[in-house]
Amino acid sequence: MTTNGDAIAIRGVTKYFGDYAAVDDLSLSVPRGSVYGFIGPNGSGKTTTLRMTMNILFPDAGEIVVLGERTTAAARDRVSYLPEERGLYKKMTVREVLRYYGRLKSVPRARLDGAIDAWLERLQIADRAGLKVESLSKGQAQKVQFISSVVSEPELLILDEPFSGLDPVNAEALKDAVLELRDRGTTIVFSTHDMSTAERLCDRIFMIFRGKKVLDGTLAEIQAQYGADTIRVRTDGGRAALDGMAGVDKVVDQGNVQEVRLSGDPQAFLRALMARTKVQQFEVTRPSLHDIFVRIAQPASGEVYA
Amino acid sequence: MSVAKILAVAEAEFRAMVRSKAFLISIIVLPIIMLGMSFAQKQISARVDTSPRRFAVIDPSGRYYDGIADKARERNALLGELAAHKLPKPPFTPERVDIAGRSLDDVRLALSERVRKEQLFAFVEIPAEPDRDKIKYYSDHPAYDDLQEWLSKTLDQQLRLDRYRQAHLDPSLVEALSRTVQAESLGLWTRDAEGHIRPAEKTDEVRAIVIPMAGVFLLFFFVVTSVPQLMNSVLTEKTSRISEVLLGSLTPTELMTGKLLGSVAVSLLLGALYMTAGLTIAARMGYAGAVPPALLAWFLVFLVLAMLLYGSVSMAIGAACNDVKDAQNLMLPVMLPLMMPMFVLLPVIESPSSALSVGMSLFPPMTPLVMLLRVALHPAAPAWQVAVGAALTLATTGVCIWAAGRIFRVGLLVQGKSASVGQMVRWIFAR
Repeated sequence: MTTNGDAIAIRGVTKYFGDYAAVDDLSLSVPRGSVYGFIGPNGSGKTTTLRMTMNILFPDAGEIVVLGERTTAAARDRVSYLPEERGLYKKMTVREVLRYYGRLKSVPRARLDGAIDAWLERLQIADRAGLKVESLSKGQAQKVQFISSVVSEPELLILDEPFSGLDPVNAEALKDAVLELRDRGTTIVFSTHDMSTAERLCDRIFMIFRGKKVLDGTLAEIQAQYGADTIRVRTDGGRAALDGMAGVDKVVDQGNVQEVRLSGDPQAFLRALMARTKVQQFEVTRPSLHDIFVRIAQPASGEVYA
Repeated sequence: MSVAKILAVAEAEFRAMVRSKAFLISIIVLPIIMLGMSFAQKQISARVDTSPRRFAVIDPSGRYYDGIADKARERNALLGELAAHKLPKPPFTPERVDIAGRSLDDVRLALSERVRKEQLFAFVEIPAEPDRDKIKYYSDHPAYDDLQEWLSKTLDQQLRLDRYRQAHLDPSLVEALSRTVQAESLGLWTRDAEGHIRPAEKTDEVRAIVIPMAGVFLLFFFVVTSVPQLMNSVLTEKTSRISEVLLGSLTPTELMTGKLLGSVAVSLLLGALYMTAGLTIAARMGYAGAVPPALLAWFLVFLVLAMLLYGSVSMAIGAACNDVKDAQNLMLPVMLPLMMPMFVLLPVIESPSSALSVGMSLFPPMTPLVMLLRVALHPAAPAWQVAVGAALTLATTGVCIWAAGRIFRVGLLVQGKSASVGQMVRWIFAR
């Protein structure tokens, strides 16, 4: 039975650890076929939410429907989870690990080896199939781990920091694989601290902070919520040129470029800035996801740097 | 419950354990060590110091030296034959001391000097009246007592003969009159199926004691080697976050059941291998039928029960801890009831039906070992006691698996600090 066509439907879910509400009255819908980014500071309730989605933890209140199934384990074989790191048996060979994880997802043996070979080939580690996991490089191990989570062709794939610690080539290979899965109809939820990856890959973004939902929507919707108050500048004077300027609420210094949150008129600000230093680049833009994240998670500390 | 998933876990656990070093040790290295030890023993025996033990005899009365010299010659002549079966022994070579007008103390000192210079091994001083004064044996090798014992025995025989003669008794008559008798140890008379009365058979130490003890030791050995592996496997899966992936695919109960089955299978394999080897050796030594098939069956039953009971608890500990040290500390009290029976084997063997024996065999943590021992001993434990013991252990095992499952479920996801016993109890009863 399907409910609203959502891959995940979380309704009014609360989870306590002792007296502490790790997740507090959370509601969220993840549409089928979407790539949904879960963001939030460490300890904000992301992992607890994911674990409840995977039926490892159970909510104290509310309801979670995964792939239309309300009972705890019914959707288990159709959902896969890739933890942030490790999670592989060091002493097993790559093929043994993949077979084991495949069997735990009830993949028929007849189909399993074919699927393993295809994925090993796809991620260019077919020559490692007979090696022990402990002999793999970090990038290779992460690819194996990725394969272990997709070999069962899950309808819902949950990835926790899938690209952390990878070199750009390997990271690109995995991103391509994720997009390919999305194109085949897999719903993908991934939690990340890398805001630029979230911006590029996700159709929708959800942010949880102190157990509560603080953002949920497409990137454009979220950015619209936070207005066009951000100005990106590159000047000869750099960060110092912005000191003491009127209307500047906050400066995010990114080295050669500074992001300024402005409460006044951008044109007046540009004139004032040109009087101070030589302006090479001036762009009125929407706040980046990174900026929005920091605004939410760090609201009280140093609002104005200028 | 998905049987296919449980079997997949069991198979993976089985493969991992069979490939582990501990398994290799128990299956290959242990027999090698045993063979090596018997080889080493042979090597050592070939290198025993067999240089002659030269000793001086101070015999002021002159009555004893010749007897000692004769007996030493007899003994030395027999050494060659004995060496074939036993450890080789050195010959004893006596030397008569001529006092020649010196004081006895001078003689003693001079002989002591010779012992110090290793010209002599020892010297013995036989008083004129050995019945009144002690014979004195002097040496620089207090740990070597063969010579001293041989001298005592030889002189004792000689003195006895002297006494018989002084009493005008025929030594051979005295020997005949003072021979000892021994009671033969037998079982009980029985009546067979056809009504014939069957005489009691001779009791056999191998059947009565060695086989029951071997069974208990084997069971103990299997559990003690397998259970910590199970704990380690859970702990490793937890700390390397594998558990999290696994729990996304199956329930904690399925995971625990699979692991338990895998390790029970490993211990059954080990048990079968050792049994085959043991029975082969027994057959070679003429004890082909000494181990009744029922005992083998009970061995397997109690092995499975012990593995389930101790395995489930050790898995719970593995799941609750975050490092090996904490886990090992918690394992100690758990393994104690398993070790306890090993300290009371003798009292149980001597009286298998005593209150202590029955009590311990019905106390579930000790049942597998003690009840197995009682089943193997004579008189064997009554069937109802075995049944009650097995049922109680099964029930306890059920409770342990349930409680361990609760701890397992919560513990696996708790990273950071290892749980205290109090916390584990709270987890068991948590909602």
